[in-house]
Amino acid sequence: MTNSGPIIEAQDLRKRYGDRVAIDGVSIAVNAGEIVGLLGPNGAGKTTTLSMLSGVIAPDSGRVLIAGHDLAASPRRARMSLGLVPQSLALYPTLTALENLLFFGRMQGLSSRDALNRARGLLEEVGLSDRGDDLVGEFSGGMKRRLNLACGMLHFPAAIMLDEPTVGVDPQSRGRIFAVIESAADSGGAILYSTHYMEEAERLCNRIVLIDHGKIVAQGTDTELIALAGTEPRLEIVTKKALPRGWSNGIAGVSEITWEVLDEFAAALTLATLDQVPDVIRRAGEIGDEVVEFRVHRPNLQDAFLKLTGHALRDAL
Amino acid sequence: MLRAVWLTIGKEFLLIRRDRVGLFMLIVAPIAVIAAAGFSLAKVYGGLTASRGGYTVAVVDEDHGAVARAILDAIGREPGLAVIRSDNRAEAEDIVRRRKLAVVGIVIPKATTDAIEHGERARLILYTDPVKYLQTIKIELTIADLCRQVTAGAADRARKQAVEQSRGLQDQIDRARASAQHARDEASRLAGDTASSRTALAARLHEQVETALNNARDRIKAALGAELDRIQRKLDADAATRQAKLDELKDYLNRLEAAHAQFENWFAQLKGLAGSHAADIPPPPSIPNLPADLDLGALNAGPVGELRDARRNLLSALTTQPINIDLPEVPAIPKIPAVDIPHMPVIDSSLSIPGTLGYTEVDLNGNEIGAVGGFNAFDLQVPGFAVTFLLIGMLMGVSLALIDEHDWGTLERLRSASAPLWTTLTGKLLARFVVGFIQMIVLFAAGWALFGISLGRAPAALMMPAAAIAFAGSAFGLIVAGAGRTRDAVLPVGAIVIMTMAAIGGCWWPIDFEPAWMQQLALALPTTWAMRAFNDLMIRHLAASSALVPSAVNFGFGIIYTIFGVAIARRRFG
Repeated sequence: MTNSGPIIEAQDLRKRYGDRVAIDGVSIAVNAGEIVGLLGPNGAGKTTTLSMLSGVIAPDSGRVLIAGHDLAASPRRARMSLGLVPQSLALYPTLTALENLLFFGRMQGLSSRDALNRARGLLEEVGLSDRGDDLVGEFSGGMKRRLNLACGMLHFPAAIMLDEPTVGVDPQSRGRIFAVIESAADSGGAILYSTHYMEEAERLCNRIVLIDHGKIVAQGTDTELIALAGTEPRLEIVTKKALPRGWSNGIAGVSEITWEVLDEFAAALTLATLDQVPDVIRRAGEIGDEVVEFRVHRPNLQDAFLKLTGHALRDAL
Repeated sequence: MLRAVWLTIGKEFLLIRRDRVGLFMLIVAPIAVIAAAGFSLAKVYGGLTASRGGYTVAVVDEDHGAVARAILDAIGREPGLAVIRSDNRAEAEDIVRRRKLAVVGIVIPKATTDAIEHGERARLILYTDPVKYLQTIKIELTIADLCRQVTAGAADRARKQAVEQSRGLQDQIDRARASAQHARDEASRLAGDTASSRTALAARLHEQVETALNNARDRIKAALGAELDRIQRKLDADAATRQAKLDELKDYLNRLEAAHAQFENWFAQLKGLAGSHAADIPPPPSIPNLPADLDLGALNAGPVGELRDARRNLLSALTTQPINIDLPEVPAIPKIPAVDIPHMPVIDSSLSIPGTLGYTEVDLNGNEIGAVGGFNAFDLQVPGFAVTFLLIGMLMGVSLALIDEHDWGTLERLRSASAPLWTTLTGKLLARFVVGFIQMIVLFAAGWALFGISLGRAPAALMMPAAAIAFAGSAFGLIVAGAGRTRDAVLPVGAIVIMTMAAIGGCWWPIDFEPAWMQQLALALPTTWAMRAFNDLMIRHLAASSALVPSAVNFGFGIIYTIFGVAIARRRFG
């Protein structure tokens, strides 16, 4: 069956757990060769969305199409076109890397020979060709992440869903992972990439969907989304004591940004000019006992998310 | 979908092969625990593993008599007992209760032998340690049996003496009876001999009389014969003389007759010649003819024939005639009356001396194995701990493995890969069932090789309850996996449930140790039915058919567990 539309298409997905609304009307479309980032903080609904899109859990309402196949009506066909890279390391630690790949490849319908050939190819792609016969339990976190990615891409799926595939990995592994993903996209795969790292989304994705509290708050290219946050420089400060609301009153050209930081006494402001930084640091030190850390930067997706939702993408700076 | 199940089974076997801790828990750990439990409890259950000197008893001999020696000898022969000789009661009590060197102290009080020999009651005094309850019971049973043996031995000796005396008296009576009978027999023989002698005497008399008569007859015959012969000869001579005369007379007559014929002829011729004058011739004088019936021989026949007849008559008169000699009857010897000596009743031990009631166990081959039998403790421990570790294996292999798969995310990945949850569950259960079944076989084989367990009359039949409990156990693991939220929750809860099931189900001790209500409760547990089947086959040596019902019940449990387990697992992992 030839599908000219989106490879991954979610239509108004909704999911509730008791009284809590987990997903509230999410609609996403990913075309062939496209990498779409699903960006949001922890608990925003990214994993739930991917679980519904991959058929792991059923939505209360809405529809999912994978390569044109309705996941509810034709689950087998839809799943044959689907590759999931879950957030958890979905690997058997007491099996070797090759054994993991062979098992999942065969479960995806590959013959023994095809699974073996494909597994060796992918081990090469993710930089584990010399570790194929080693037990996964002996791998580093980054190696496991790379193998986890390979397991989801064994059967050349048209739709690839990755749920924070770079959590806790080293830069080298991250680079490998990005390369494999980009290669898959170049080969025509439609990739939905869930992350709460804005840098990854900016680096990798053609389009970004910002999600928070189960709802899509905005979507577009990174440039389009950053533009939503304005152009003034941002100052983020971490102090020993909490800074009360209005602590910067009196300093010209400064406006406080309200946000939520869970573990640290942090504050953020927009600055008219960088000349105001010393005065702001001095005031923060006086009121907050001591400035532990500060950072000045240009607006980014974090700022856009902060502006749109009132809280940070990550729990901490 | 079958392909997914098959691949899952293969993956499970690979995981099991790599899981060294799991393999240890499957085989090595059970054998270690079985060995520890089996050797520890061997004394309680007895049997092959209860070695000599298994229990120590302290003995105080105040009696120094035959009974004491018998008791000490009996204790010495008892393979499960070792003896510490103690000088006095206080020391024996100290050995048992303070120093704990012996389980029981046995005092053989003074005059015990006298009491027993005089038919009076005697008692041993035991010092026990209440903490060592089971051992004490075991030893008390042994001592009770030894006391019974000693008492029975004394009774047997008394009975034997009585029986011997009874037999001696009986022998004397038998001899007297035999003598009387002999006398009777002799008298009968004498009477018989007398009758025989009388008959013989009559015969002899008859013979002698007949001989004498015959002799007389012969002499008379001879004399008579001689005289008759003489007369005969005389007569014969006279007859011959007469015969000669007669012959001359006869010759004369014959010539006379011939002359008569010639005269006739001559006269005839004369008449012819006289022609006409013939008539004038006067007739000649007539000569008479000889009478036609003249028999001159008869003239000589008379006296000789008479004599011949007389001889015949006389000899005939002398012919032997039967002689009857009637001897007077010999007066009969009166019969000796039968001596009616009553049989001396043989002294019956059960009547004459009260016997000792004891008992002995008969093993499954019909052999007596003594008063305190037992069985190889490993016959109970091997299947018991095999079942326990089978369930533990299922807890780890099914419950924890499912939770691990869920936590690792592999379950999620599999579900996104066209492998429904049921294929994973089925593959996992089948793999674990096979592993559990093999585990049971390996443990039984190890038990047989290492601990000498009995495999019953039909070893192959053991596979039936083994398969049934493996199925029920694997399905039960599914329920535990579905019920527990996390690995940390499953481990303690699962362990408690398994330990409870094993304990109540009789895996660790005979279920008959438990109160009745608990035994009833145990019927709801698959462990109970598994152990029932194993005990029937291995310890009771029943036929293979005895395992049918328990195995069927456990397969039933397995089906119920599977239905509930799948429902719970679908809610938990679906």
